[in-house]
Amino acid sequence: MTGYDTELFRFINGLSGHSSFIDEVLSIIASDYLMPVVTGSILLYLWLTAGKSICKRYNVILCLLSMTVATSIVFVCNVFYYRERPFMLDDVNVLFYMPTDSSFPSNIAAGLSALSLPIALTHKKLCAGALICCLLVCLSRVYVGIHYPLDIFAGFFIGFGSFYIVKKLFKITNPINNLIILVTKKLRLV
Amino acid sequence: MADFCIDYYLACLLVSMAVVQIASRTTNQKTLMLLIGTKKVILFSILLILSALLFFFGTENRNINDTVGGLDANQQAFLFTLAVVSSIWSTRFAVLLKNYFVSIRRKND
Repeated sequence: MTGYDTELFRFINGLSGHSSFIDEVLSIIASDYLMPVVTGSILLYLWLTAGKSICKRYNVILCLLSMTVATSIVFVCNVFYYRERPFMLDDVNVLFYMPTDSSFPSNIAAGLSALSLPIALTHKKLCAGALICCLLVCLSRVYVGIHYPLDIFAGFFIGFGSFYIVKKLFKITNPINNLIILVTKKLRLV
Repeated sequence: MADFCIDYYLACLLVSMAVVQIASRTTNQKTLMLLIGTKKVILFSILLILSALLFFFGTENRNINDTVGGLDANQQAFLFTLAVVSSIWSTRFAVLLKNYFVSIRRKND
């Protein structure tokens, strides 16, 4: 399994280094600062266009809870399992800074997919947009040499799992959700 | 570190101001609408987003690890939330000011 993973990584990473423009663009897409802001902006748009619909506001909170659960699962995984980053292999094009934490599972894949998937409950087109952003950042992270494809798949799996868990247990969190909505109303953010 | 935080905050502020304008146009929320006319709003929002991108990614190398001066996920989440709140409040304030000056001009006319 890891053999195929390394081969696929080498194929995707091998595409880099041919065009400095594509390398530059993909290293910006892979950055920690672009796609989280894009996905956050999609959530802000959903929040502001929710109007009087309480379901749509709950959906935004569901996204945030789902992301929190996903990143917590990744944190726990990293405590018990460490996988070296692919740039430790020979002949890898590294276009990014060298992270020191575990490669498996991908934190950004888990977080962004957990944030994007619940959007489908109220807005399918925006969900597709958010998932495309998520896929783009994940592919570019393999391209720049800091993740194996399997890390990305595991991240997606965790993201989907945490969305499922949070959706099932969402009613338990209703008092907190109502409190969040009340506070945002008081702060004139609704 | 402080410079990086300020740059990130400003970039998020510009992007969220653009999102606020697009959302207010979509739902016709007058308390957040700075400009009238869909084309104007779209152009203004695109300008804000492009300037945020150019300002943040065009001025310095931003691919920095959070252990050597970058921002970790918690700091990013905090600054993004702060930027969203301040963009909504500042837009409300700007709309109030705009309405106030418009009403004064109408009185004078």
